[in-house]
Amino acid sequence: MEIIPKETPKIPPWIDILFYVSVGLLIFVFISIFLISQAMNAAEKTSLELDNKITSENSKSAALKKEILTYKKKINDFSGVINGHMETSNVFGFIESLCHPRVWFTNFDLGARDGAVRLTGEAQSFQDLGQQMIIFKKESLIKKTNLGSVSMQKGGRVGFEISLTLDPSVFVFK
Amino acid sequence: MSGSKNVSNIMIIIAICSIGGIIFGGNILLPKYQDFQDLNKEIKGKERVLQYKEEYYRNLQAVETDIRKYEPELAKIDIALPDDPSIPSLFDFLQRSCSQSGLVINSMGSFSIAASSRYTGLQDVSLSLGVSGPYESLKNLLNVLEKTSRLMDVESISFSPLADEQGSKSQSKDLFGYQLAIKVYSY
Repeated sequence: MEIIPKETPKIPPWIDILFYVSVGLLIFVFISIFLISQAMNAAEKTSLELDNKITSENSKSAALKKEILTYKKKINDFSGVINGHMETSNVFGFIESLCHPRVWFTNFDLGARDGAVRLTGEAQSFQDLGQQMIIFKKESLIKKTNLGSVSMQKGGRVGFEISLTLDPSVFVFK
Repeated sequence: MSGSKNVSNIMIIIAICSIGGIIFGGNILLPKYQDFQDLNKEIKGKERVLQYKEEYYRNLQAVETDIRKYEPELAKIDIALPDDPSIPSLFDFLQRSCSQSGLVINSMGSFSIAASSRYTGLQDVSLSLGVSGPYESLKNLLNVLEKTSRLMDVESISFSPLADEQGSKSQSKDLFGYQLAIKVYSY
């Protein structure tokens, strides 16, 4: 039994410092793991939201793009069709303007796409038919003139069949 | 004796904390931090993509707004080139046009719908029409067909005098029988 208590040996200060540093390190690591986990969760949520927004933008853009392309196609198709549109009725005014006064047509066949016209009719005389052919041949919008069968009709009239090939500009839509 | 025991306990705690710190830090914290950095980069990339997409959508909206300014013209195109052949309305239109022009419909035949030979993506609706009446009425009908908002091409026309009851040609009456091949277009 000791009457005078022994002085407890003092812990060196560097051990104290090392203790606090190591404990602090462990606490720092745990807190950091916790904070980063929280931040990761928030970032993953943000990433997911961005994915959703991108998907939504994609579908919105795709729908709008489809609509615009539909308009574009319709406009292009319409210009194609309108450029190829024909005014077939032009041919009547055109033929009438070239018709000899003593020649009349009874049958008429027109293929508008190739400009082929077949006229069957009667002329007062051969001279009138000849003049009619000259009128057709002189017209620049008639590319080809062909006189087919010619026959004598009642009263000295001359029956005939004429084939014409017209320039496509005759049918141009104005 | 107890003092040195205290020191050794503290040393054990220091060792455990340090090793724990290093193990948790190296195996959990650092990879998590790396993942976090990667995720942040990914988010920044996605934000750029989203910005680009939003700008793209805005541009598309601007284009659509420009197109919408031409709504009446677009409506005309829709009538000229409808989404479906609209056969009943076509027949109705032809019937009305013929009677208004002074022609009588004798026959409606050779009706067909096929992929257009001239225009990709369109359908040709072809039909032949047999009508009779005066020559002037035919010209009226053609004017109506050519000017209608539904684009119509009269591909061929042929006519000849109508035979009367005795079988002879009725040239004096100026009545003719006409055969028209008409083409309209649809999607």
